[in-house]
Amino acid sequence: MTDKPTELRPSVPFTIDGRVYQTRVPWHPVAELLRLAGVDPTLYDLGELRGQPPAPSRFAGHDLVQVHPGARFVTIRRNADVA
Amino acid sequence: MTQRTSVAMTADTHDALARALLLDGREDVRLATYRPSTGATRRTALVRRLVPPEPGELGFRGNAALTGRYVRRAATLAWADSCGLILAHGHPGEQGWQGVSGADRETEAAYADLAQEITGLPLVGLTLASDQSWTARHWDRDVGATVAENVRVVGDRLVVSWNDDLVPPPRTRRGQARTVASWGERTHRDLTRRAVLVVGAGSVGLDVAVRLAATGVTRIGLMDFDTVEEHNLDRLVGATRVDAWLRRSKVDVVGRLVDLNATAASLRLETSELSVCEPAGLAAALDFDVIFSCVDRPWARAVLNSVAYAHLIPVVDGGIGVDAFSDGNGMRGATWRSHVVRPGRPCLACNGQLNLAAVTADRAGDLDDQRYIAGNGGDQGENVAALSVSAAAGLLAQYVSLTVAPGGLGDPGPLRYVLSTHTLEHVPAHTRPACPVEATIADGDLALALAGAHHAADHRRAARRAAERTWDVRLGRAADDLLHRLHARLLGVAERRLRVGEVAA
Repeated sequence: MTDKPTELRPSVPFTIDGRVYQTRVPWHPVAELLRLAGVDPTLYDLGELRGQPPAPSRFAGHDLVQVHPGARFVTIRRNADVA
Repeated sequence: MTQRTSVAMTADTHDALARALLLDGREDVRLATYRPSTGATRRTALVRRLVPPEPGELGFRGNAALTGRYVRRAATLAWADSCGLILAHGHPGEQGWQGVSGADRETEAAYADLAQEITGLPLVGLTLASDQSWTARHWDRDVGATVAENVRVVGDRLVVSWNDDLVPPPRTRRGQARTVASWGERTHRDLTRRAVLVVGAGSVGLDVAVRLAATGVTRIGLMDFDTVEEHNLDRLVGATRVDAWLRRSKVDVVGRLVDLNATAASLRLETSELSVCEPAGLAAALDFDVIFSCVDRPWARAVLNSVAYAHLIPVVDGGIGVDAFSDGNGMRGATWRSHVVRPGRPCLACNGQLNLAAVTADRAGDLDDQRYIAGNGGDQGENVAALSVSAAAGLLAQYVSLTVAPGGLGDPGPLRYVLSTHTLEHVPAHTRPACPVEATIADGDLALALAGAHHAADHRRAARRAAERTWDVRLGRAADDLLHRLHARLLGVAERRLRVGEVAA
């Protein structure tokens, strides 16, 4: 029996709020991506920019998100209470 | 006893009364209940519910007539619900604000004492004309009828019936020509008569107040306990380093700008250095027809949230949230929101704008403690003048929809603008099951009081008073006041010169 190297998914680059991240995992919970971006998942939504013009399609809090190479995500703040 | 009076009701209540009073074009009469809402200078009767007549309780003697049995039964129901009694007449075929006919006056006068005896509150008379205009008066014992200044119906539009004798329609001026052309003379006269309070004189409140003044609004209130400081100057457009040095209150500075930008022939500007969280501040707020919530703090937002439902005063709320990257290198994004809070729309807690846990922390003074804020990952109040104007624009657009209903459409519901993608979205907000705030519609003075002592406001006012006693601030203020008086005189000269030109033209 010969040892066969484990096949890893190649590292996939994607952005959240314009900052580049990498992952080898194809699916992520929304909250995980929001935390990766450094925001509180209870206060922010996640959107993905698809097509032109890039209106963000929204994910529900419990969704699993597929991260494609070059995927562009944005965080969307829910409240805006400074006046 | 406050002598100014008014009446307010929801659009649903208006529809129920209108169906009963103007059915088939016949004159009719009904009884209803109300709760009082007591402001500093105005009493408002908040209509609660119609009490339908039982068989034999109505008659017709030339005009619609009701029996003493109906009055006693309805008054007893009103008393059991801690309410007063309303006697409402329909006037089919009539238009606008009504004088009270002899028969109606006699009926109301005849039952006023009985109603007050049973309920402990004055009888309120209401008249509905065919064009859906209301007329109202309070019948206080030993006083007689006090005619209301307006009757407000709160729905996706705020519809106001005006007593022209007490609140005359403002004269439009040449400087308002473009504004009047945008929505017509009649709408302009209605819009500019509405008493509007701006709570919070920060970046958003300043812009809102100044633009209301430029629009021609004739009665504007400003409420804020805070002082202009140097770190405010990048957002308080129009405030200067002199104001920060002289420890001017924000309402003084914003009031000056409002005065300078007013286009009304006569502006009644009411400034208050109170917080709306203080009982006197809350009472002052209840004197207004519409309130702009331009506050930063959750406690003040919670008070205004309650006012919108319990006292039937629509609250136009909103604000901005700016996010920087935590490494200090760039901007993550910004969001601004706007919404009208009123019966029929989700409250601020339901629409996600108010964190109820933060209200408790604010009341306890924790939000003035930097260690608490840092420990809870709280915002530092990031804000940018270039963007706060968009938040103000959002609030003002909601106000115009509520007031003018462009295209026949009233307030659009909660809106959110996302800066990074430049998208405007309707926030999918719904009322929580058993929302305690929206259950208080027209509760009036019996609503749970959220107001109380406000130590931060006391502290800021005391610090300002102390600064006012120092010699350099006193000298600086004397010089600054003189400059403002000179400028005011110059404006007076300009006003007279322009009027000469207006007459000549």
